[in-house]
Order: sequence, then C-alpha cells, then structure tokens
Amino acid sequence: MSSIIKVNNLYHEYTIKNNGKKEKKVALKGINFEVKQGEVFGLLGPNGAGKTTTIKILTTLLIPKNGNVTLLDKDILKSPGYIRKNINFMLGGERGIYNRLTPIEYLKYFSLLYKIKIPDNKLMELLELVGLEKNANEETIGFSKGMKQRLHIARVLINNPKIVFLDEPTIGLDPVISEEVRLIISRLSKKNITVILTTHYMQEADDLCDRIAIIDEGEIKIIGTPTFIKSTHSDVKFYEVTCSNLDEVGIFSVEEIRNLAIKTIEGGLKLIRFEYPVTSTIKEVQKEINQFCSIIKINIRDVTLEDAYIKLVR
Amino acid sequence: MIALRLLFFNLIKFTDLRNKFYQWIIFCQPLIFLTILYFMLKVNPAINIDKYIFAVGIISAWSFILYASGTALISEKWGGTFELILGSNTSLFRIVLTKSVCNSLIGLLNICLTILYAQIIYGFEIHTSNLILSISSLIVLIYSLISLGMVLAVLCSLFNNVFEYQNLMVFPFLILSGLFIPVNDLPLIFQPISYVIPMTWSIKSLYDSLIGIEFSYFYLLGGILISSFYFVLTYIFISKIELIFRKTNKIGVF
Amino acid sequence: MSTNFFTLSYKALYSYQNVKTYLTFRVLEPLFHYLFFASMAYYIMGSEYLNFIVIGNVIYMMVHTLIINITVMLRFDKIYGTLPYNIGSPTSTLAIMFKRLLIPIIDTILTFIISSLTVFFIFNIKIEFEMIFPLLLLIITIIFSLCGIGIIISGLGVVFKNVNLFLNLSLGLFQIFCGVNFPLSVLPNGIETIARCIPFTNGLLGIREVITNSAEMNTVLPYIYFEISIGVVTFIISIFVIKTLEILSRKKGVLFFD
Repeated sequence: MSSIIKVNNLYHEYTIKNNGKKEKKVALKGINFEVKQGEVFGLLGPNGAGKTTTIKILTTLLIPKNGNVTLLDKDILKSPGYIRKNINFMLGGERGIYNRLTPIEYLKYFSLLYKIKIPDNKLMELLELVGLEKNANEETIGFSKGMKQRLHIARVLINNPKIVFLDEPTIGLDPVISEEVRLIISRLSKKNITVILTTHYMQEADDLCDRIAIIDEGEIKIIGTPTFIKSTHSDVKFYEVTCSNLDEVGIFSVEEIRNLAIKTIEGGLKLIRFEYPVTSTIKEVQKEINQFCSIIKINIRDVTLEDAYIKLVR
Repeated sequence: MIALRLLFFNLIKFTDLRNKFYQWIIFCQPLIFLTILYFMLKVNPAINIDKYIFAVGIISAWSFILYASGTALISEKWGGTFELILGSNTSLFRIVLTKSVCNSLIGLLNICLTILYAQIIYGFEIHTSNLILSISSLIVLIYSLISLGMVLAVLCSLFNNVFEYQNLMVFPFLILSGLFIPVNDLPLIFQPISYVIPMTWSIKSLYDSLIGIEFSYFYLLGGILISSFYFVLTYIFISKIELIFRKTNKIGVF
Repeated sequence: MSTNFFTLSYKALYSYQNVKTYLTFRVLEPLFHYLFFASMAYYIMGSEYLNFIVIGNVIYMMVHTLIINITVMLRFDKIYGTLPYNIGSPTSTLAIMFKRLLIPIIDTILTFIISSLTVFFIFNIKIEFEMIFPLLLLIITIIFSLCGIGIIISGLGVVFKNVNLFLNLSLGLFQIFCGVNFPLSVLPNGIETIARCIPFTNGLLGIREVITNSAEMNTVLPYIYFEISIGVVTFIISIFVIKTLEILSRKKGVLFFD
C-alpha cells in the first residue's frame, strides 16, 4: 500500500517570550514517519511534545522551518490549495463552532468555503452519521461538549476528505460519548479514509490505531503497531498481590521488584502492586513474595500501551 | 486592614496594564482628545482651557471606570472565581468596593497623566484660582467615581452583551454630568437626571474652583451625599445578588 | 432556510441579530456621539461650528461602523476558535474577507441613512433631494477607500493577539487628521497635505460641500477622483498586506492565539 503522508526530517521551532526575553523553543527535532492510505495513525505524547505542531504543519496551517512533507504526493509548501481540498481537520475541544448557526447551517457554511455544493439530504446523512440528525435545526449555543465534538466530525467529512486529522477528539467527554465518537472514527477508517489521531487516552489509541508514533520533546521515540510497542517494553510483568502480615522493609529490599506500591485495604489487608522481570515464572515470584507476607491472592496482568508509554516518556 | 491589603493586591495583581484596551484608555485616549482640543482651540483661542483639560482627563477616567468597574463583578463569574470569593470570609461588597477604589485610583492617574501630557506635549499652562478647593473637588470626584463604579458593577451584570452596552453608556454620562454643557443649559427634563449622577456635583465644584467664580460648598457636599447614597444602595443590591446567586447560581443573566 | 455566504456569515458573526438591538445601537449610540462632540464644539469653537461638527461626525460614525465591522469579523472567528477552520479551507483568507465585506457595507449605508434622519430631527440638518446623488457617490467612494484600511486592520488582528489598540488608534487618527472635528486649515501646513492623502478626508470635504454649500456634481468630482485614487492605493496595499500576513501567520502559528 502506498504512503499517503511522508514526513521527512521535519523540524520546527517557535520564538516564545519568557520574562520579556525572546527564547527559541524547538518543537520538532527532525522527525520522520510515513502513513499508509486507510490507516488510523496515532500520534501520542505528553503536552508540549510536538503533536499539535505536527498536525498544524500537515494541515498546511503552519509552515515548518525545515524538512519535507508530502500529502497525497504533493508538497505542503508548493500545493497547499490541492491538499486543503482533500483533507480536513479538527483541533479538539469544544471551540470552533458558530454558536448562532444550526448544525445544518454550520455545515453549509463550510461547504461554501470548500467550494462544494452539497444537497441538504447529504448534510443530513452526515449529521445522522454523528447522531445529530434530531438537532439539525437547533442553534448550537446550547450544545454539550460531546455534541460539539460530533458536529466537528461531521464538518470534517464535508469535503469527502482522503485524510482527516483529529486532534484529541474525545478530550473532556464522558465515557459514553467518548465511546460514540470512537465508533464514528472506526467507521471512517472502514471507508478507506486515512485518520491521523492524537489523544492522551492510551486505551483509545490501542483500540483505534493501526500504528502509533510516540513523540516526546520533539522526537519520535517509537513507531509501530500497538502490539509491537507493547512487546518492545515487556521486559517486566505487572503483579497485584493481596496479602497480610506484610514486612514492608523487607519487601522493599528485593532487587527485582520495581515500582512497588502498597495500599491498605479492608480488614487490615495490604494490596501491593509491582513489576517483576518477565524471565521469572509466577511460582518463582510467589515464592519470593511469600518470604515477606502471607499471600491471599495474586494476579498477573499483561503490559498495556499505557505501561509502554509511561516507560518511554518518563 | 484587610480592605487595605485587598486594595493593594488589586492594584498590583489585578490591574492589567498589559490589556491593550486599558492601555488605549489610559495612555492613548487622552492624547487623541487633547489633540482635538488643541486644534479646536486654534479656531477659538480666547477660551478658558483649564476646565477642558480636566474634562479630557475625566473622559479617560470615566471610560476606564465604566469598563473596569463595570465588569468587576461579572468577570469573576466569567473566570469561575465568583463562587470562590463568595465562599470566603470577606463580604462581596467589600471585594467589589476594593476593586472600585482601585479602578478609581487608576482614574485619578488618568487625570494626572492628561495634565502632564497637556503641559509637556501641548504646552498648555494650567491655572487654578484655589488649589485647595480644586484638590478637594478632585477627591470628591474620585469618591463619586468609586460609588459610580459600584453601581456599574451591579448594573453591568444585568446585561448579556455587557461590552456593547458599556459602549452605549460612555457619552450620555459625560453629556449629562456637565462636562462640556453646563447642567443649567440642558433641557429642563434632563436636569434632574444630571443631578442624580454623583460626578455632576464634583465636576461643577471642580470647574468653579478652577475658574474662580464664587465657590459654593453646596456642590462639594452634594457630591459626598449623593455618592454615599449610592454606596448604601449598592450594599443592598450586592447583598441581594449574593442571595440570588446562592439560590440560582446566576448573576444577572449569566 | 437561506444558506448563502452572506446570510450565514451575518448570522454567525454579526452582533446585531434583530431590529430592536440594531436600532438601539445604530440610533442611540451615534446620537450620543453626535451630542457629545456637538456640545464640545459648541462650547469651545462656538455655535457657528455646530453643523460642521455634526456632519463630520455623521460621516465619521459611518467610517467607525465600517472599520469596526470589518475588523471584528475575523476577530470573532478568533474568539470562537473558528479561524483555523476558515483559513485552513481551500478559500483564501482574502477571498473570505472580500465575501464578508457586503455586510459591513450595507450596515454602513444604513448607519448613514439613520444618522441623516437623526441629525435632521435633532440639529435640523437637511439633505435636499438634489443632494442625494452626489452624496451617494461620495459615500460609496469613502466606503471603497476605507475597505482597504479595514482589511489591513482585520489582517493585523489575525497576527497579533489583540487588535484593539490598532483599531482605536486608527479611528482616533481619522478623527484628528480627516477634518472631522475642526477644519483642516488649522493643521500645520505639512500635516494638512498628508491629511489630504488619507482615505476619508476628501470624501468628507466633498460631503460638506454638498450639504453646506449645496455644491453640484462638477464641484465634488475632484474629491471623488482623489478619494477613489487613494482607495485604489489602499486596496492594493491591503491585498499585499493580507498575503504577507497570511504567510507570516502560517510561519508563526499565530492563528491559534485567543
């Protein structure tokens, strides 16, 4: 499958004011990645890592200081007009909506900006896709965050884009609405639309993305499928033990036990969580722990994307 | 003591002189009006200019108070801090009062800056026939502006698009307070309204002290009394707002 | 449902959405402005300047309406967070601004009509039937020459966090240098020459000739030509400025500041 996005040595810096003095802050330190057509590609990273800067550059809103970026085989600097016709984006949060317009009017306004004639029934289809058909003719001023996010997704689809950029589409939403938004996103990928997604929710990225790039301090730390990322960081397993008579000093002295956390639970019992090298079997771990407490229950859990992420960016 | 510390905190932390709109009102607007005045005086040089220079200062002071004190209460709601100050030990009235005093002090700075501009940039010489009375009138004017600021804080919380209504309020107050038109020259129907505005009294008092006509303490005293009346009125209103907010979680229309 | 660009932009971005609010702000606000400057002029310059000041300020309010409305349109987009979506669309920023100009232009013409009626009733300043055509021409030329200025200020609002200082300063300078509140002749010689090259000055001179001296078309034509020439220059400058600012905003990433 051909690459629809090619990012080569992308570098960008901002000038910021710190106590009245101008300082340069490097946002992207020459990153490289490619995205294939129809892929859901996740960009993960802490705040200020460079995710949104990358999105702004790819959506032609920001001119990079250095590097080459091509979308749909066109250079973003040479053909921004062509690229804009074929992509769309949302920048996250509930802003970006005209409060006095109804969803239908809002979509109509952007269809005019995208220079496309869309019949009202097609607009209604878009609103149905995001579950806003019943609110089609209500002013958006009273809309909840979730409704606004879903309206953004409808807007993003107004020009039948080949690539969509979704910057934190579920930020601030309750779990039910977040799940609805995730369902909509997964439907997009089935339509062969390439989705570039940024999010702080690891489970969301794990569920939705075909591949993920973890970016931190302007550098890509790792890139690959969620399974690949998790596997490269599975040198430990995660244990959760319920026990009594815990020797806290003793257990802290075990060299193999990492990131130990102890919590008192009902009945004076203790819940301990820790990481242990993957080379040891559960029986070996049990034997080791038994020296410091009486085990009531022991659970083992696999590495999650969140574990891998925390290890990478910590 | 707490009130003084609050006032100091407001002056240092909450007087946002980086706000471009306030920069405009404090530093640029007096220059524009003084330039207009300067060229108007070229048409008719024989006129007594002292009171008009003060008028320009009062225009800026009033504009600042209108916008800054006018949003004193509602901006707390916008910023999500209204609940926090309401839950504190200090009464809402005292908090709004310190904000209004702070803004009126900036207003005084406006007037001083205008006089400085007038002397340094435009070479106007400013005279007063009785310095003590002029200073007393200025103090009463500031007292009036504090009380008016309190009224505005309450009044502006009633409007949804507050800034637009503030734009609508700039000139009527200046016209009615006798800044350029003496209140006695206004149509009869408007004269009682003029005297309800606290700064009308202190402006008349200030102008009389500058020009040197027979000074009447009546206006000075009137300014103090009517301003004090507004303090009582706003105290009652703010207590009501506090109560309504506790019941409805709303101030005015917000 | 009316869904052309004009009505959607109006509904999305314009402050005054009903007749009552519109009239409040287009009758009362200008009226207070005229009364204030009229009182200032009356007591400082004398009663003979009353009409001079009122006419100057009626036209100034027109300019005020036009420039503020052009400026706030992109400003509101910035406040609502819709600016990146507008600028990131295939329609150029300049095209969006030009398309949106119609609303401020209509509002400006309505402001003039309303103000003409107001000053007729309050100050007894009459516009005779034969004045309408030259006045209309002069007003259109002033609007044309000021659209460029409005576009420039609006563009600055995209790049800078707050455009209010530019906006108020420009409006203040118009009040001083365009002969709104005093005759241009009191300005120092060099400054008077510069003042005559600023948009709005010549148009206002022409309008005063028509209303005060009942001047005929051939008397005001030089003012119209001059105002149009200045307008063409400001329009060309505005296109250049917007193109430059568009690139600058993409380089600096300033579209996203509140």
